Amino acid sequence: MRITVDGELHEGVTSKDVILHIIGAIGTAGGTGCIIEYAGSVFRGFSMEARMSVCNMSIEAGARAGMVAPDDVTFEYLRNRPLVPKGEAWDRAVQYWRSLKTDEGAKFDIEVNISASDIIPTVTWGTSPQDVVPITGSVPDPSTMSDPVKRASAERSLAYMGLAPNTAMQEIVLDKVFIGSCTNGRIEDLRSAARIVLAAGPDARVAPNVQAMIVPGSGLIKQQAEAEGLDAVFKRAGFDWREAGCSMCLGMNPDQLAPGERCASTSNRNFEGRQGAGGCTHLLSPAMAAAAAITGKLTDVRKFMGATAEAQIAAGPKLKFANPFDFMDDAQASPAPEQRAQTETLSPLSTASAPTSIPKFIIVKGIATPLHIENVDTDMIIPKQFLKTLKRTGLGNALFYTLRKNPHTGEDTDFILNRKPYNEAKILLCTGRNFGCGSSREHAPWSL
Amino acid sequence: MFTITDDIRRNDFGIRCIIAPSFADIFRNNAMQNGMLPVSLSQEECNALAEDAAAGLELEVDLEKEEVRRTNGQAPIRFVTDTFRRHCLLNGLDDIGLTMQRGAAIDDFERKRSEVWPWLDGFGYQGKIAVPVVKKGKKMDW
Repeated sequence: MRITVDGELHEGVTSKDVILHIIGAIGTAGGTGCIIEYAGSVFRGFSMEARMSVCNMSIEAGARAGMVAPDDVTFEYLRNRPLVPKGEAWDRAVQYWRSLKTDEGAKFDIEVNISASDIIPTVTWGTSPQDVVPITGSVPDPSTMSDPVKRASAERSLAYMGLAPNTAMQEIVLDKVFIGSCTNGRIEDLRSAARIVLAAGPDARVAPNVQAMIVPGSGLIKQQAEAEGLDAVFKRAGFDWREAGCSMCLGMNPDQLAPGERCASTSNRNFEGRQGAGGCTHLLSPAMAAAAAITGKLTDVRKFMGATAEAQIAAGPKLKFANPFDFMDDAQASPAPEQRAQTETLSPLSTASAPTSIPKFIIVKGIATPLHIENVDTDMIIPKQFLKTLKRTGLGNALFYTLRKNPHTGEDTDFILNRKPYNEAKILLCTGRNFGCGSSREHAPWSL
Repeated sequence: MFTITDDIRRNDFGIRCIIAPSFADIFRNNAMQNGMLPVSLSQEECNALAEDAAAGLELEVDLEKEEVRRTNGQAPIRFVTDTFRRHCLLNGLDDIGLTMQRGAAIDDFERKRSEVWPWLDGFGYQGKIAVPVVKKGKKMDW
């Protein structure tokens, strides 16, 4: 699948807005069965960091992976990094990499063309990454949707999100702001957020109703950001400057939303319960998240742009660009492998008969559970708190946990899998499309 | 290697088959790697079977005959599966077992890879990548 975005992006539109717009256009199943190549002048003009944010969210578009053909931007990013080939080997590698581009006239299974000028800063309103709307827009009205499954899905999303149809996006008040994750925890993301904070002026503070946290994507990014003075900008404005990690992207640790809390997040998934049971997530770019932290509401980032903003930035603390190589160690070769002890050696597999390591599926007869939900995601099938295991067993109780347990009392709900005879179902019959979307966690089939 | 008991305890809730109008790619593959069958049927067929399910009627999914049989006297509903994946599920094969059957071809490829794309061997390695022994440390919490 090739997605081409050509033209000039409007001011304030970032790579995150581009990929959210794309997912809104093609849907979370739009890339199913595909790897997406992103092409066109917009991606050619993007830095590696911006390209990574886009490719990262290919999964949210249903694809297996995303890629941008390597070019000089790629090679400059790689050159001299610790694990990259050096000298003659580098030249040979670059020569080979230059050959890795799509042939003229190549045929793609799916071609999508998007005009850059159609994209404006974008946020999500619902519980799927395809539920996007321009920040200038409002919450959609399910009563105007003709497709009954889509309407039911939108009604369910809005009930979960606690939003009324036709509410202006910029009137939505927030409790938390999270800037970070593998989608948007890179140095460029932090610079772009800091620029908005500076543009808001020396007295700008995180709104009193909001707790805002900034979580660098890695320890190296954290060091670089501190060398550039970004942490001071954030701390002065009342942001929480955190250690690197996944943090509130998926709520596997104490960084979680409480039930009913609303978060503007630069992460990649807004599924029900993703950031904490009952928590509501709005996905957006780092710049938009910074603007939202200052105003306390979802906000058009372009309010922090223009002549006044430029003057505030110029009057603010001088930020310098640090050299990322200053924070990297030289590569160390791994130690030579030790000989495995004989007892640890696995017996070679017979080529005549492969091991039967999974149960055979020939005929399965039993009770079938009906389920009328579209885009059932793997966070819904098994939420994050059960992922701290690599054992494949004992996860049955975690299946559809947020639907089967009342988050306030911990008691069983009347969800169908809790009721006889469906508590002994062998078959799941889902009438909604795109079952199993979202995270690749293998725990989902283990728990079923 | 996983023991037989472990295998039987997979799909812990006990659901072996999911029927839906469509599936996300990675989930579909993960399911089949765990001995489960994802069946894609049309929206109308899913709706019809969901009515059987809502009435508490059992369904019978037969991968050999590629059909879902109903206990209310209605005609079975046919489905199609990828020939290769069907073979794997009927015989209980997963990707690891299948891959290990191609050991010689993998060795050939790795030799070629070291010649043509030496940087793919990884920093500090030459030729086939040896597996460094990982020192037993604290258990990682994921």
